[in-house]
Amino acid sequence: MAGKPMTGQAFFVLTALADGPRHGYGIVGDVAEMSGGRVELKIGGLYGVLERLAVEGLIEPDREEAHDGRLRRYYRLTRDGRRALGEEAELRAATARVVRARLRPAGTEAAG
Amino acid sequence: MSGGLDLEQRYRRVLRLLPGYYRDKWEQDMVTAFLDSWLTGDPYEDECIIGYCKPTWPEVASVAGLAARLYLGGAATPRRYFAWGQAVRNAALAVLLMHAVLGLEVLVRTAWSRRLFGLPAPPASLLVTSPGGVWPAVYHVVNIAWIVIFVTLAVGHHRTARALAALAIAPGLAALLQAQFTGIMPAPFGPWAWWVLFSLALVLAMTAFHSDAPPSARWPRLLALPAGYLLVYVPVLALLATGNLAWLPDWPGLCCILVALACLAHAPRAWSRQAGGSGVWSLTLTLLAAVAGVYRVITLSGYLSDPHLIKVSLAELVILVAAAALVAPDAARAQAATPAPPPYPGTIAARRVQDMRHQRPPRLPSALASVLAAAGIVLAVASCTGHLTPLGPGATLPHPHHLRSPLILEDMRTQGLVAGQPGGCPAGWVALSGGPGQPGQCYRTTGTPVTITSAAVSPVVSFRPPPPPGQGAAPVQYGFSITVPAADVPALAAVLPAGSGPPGPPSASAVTSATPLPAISVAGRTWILLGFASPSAGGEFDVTLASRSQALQLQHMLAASG
Repeated sequence: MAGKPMTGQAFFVLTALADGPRHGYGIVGDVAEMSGGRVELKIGGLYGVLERLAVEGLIEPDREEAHDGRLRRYYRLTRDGRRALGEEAELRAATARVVRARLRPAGTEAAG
Repeated sequence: MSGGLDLEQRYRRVLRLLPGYYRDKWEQDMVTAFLDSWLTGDPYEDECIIGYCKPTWPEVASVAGLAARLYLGGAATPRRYFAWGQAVRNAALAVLLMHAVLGLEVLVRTAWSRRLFGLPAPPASLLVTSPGGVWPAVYHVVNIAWIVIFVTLAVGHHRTARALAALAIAPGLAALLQAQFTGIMPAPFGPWAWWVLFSLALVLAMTAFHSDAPPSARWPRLLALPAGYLLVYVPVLALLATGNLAWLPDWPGLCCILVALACLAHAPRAWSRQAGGSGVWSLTLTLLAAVAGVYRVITLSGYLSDPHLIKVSLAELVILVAAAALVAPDAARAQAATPAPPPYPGTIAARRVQDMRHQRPPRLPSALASVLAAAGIVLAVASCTGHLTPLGPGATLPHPHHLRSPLILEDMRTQGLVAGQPGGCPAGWVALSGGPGQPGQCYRTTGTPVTITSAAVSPVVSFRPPPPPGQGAAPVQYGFSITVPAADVPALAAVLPAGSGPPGPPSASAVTSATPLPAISVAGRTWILLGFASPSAGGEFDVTLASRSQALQLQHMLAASG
């Protein structure tokens, strides 16, 4: 059976963790910044995604840090997560190339 | 600090919505993330935030959504929650199937009545007429829409099916709210209201079809629709066509019997030690039995005046409970004995070994859904429009057919509230609240009610009766014709002789102290009629009501119950 496509939320969460571990609210902020404010993760939704990614083995806890008396848990990509994110990015880039080619006005390719 | 709780405690209280196993793992982290979204680093401002701010509604909604997804578990959840998730999904699908079979019945009888596809003329008892008026037309379309919703869900378009189902119950909910707020429905929760609330519960139960729900085979689900129609409705149609109406239970009774039969069929598997995974179906059937039982109990109020029907209904209830008791022990074991849920369907990790081709979903089920949707819309519109001649001649008023909920006619006396009496009414009278701005009334029944189990109704019409001498134009009134079997005419004439109800629509002002008025009760709801014409020898009589909405509701309940 073909795998389910990666959801947009999962893709953004994995991307937020691509350049280093982040804690829960750090992921929310980074996703909002990355998407230009178009994707606003709610905390309930975020932890649904985090649990799913953890069960799939794509992310794992990194460390816990005390901040103002509260413990922040940081998450990082696993090796599988990094590979899955790379493959998803390739798939999306390939799709984007097809879209751009089809949107290009007729004759542009020959001229250019 | 409101309520003595600080912001962290309020978030922890919201997180109690989540299952314990999930809270153990994620609660602390979620609370930290919630607080991080508020706090600024300024000690004074943060103290105010901690003391006085509350979780926002979108945050609570996101936690509630997560809780629904976890309790109605799908892939990679504990067995207990997976069993409940599967059972709710199965039960929701079964109830949807019931709605779809009802819609298919409307569709088939409409097509047959209009002699589409060269069909021969149906027996007179199976004819259906075009729904008259906007609301009956809306309900007609909604009935057929359930076919599309079932097929959409069966082929896996869960979100679309949920949205369509929410749209489908909107007219019923709107009518329910309107009836409650305008005082048309004196009892807060009559059987009709329960039916609407059951539909709302169905839409909520459809949230169990979330993204983590395991995929299931489409064709068995799709084939359940024609199979359900053939197994349930073809025998019903045969009984209707042959006139053996005494064998037909009403709709709640039919639900009880069907669930009981399913329980009996499943019982050997439930009691077999070798059968693995039977617990989910036992849990499903127990859920369905609970729903059918509640539906049976609340519709008993419609039969209070008929001891025979009460006995039959109670017998149906006993059969249902006995059958459900056979599978209930297995249902209780389901939470532990259910096989482990599958991993997330097509996990991303698994996907990496596959090629990167875009997989297109199979087209056939979607195409079938589109064809059914198009056919349903065309037939619904055609049957609502009396001007589409290509669909054949419009059907005439049908002969009486069996009613799911019997019609009870009785003679009533009404009078205004009396000062100084407890409740405003004399002993033996019941107070009935009036509509907005209207005074309440006292009423009591006289004589013996007559129960009609077969009838046919015409569309609602409006008319303006001639004004009383010397007065201006009378207000518009609304009414329709009811045709009962000729055998019921003497009983009708006895309970409602020509003198008890005005032979024609009276003026509303004539309804004053101790006025004799006929009343009709269907499924626990009572409508006091403004007018009642004595039945003709053919069994047809006219009823008149004060408002359009009352007339439409009564007409719809009688038309829909056939």
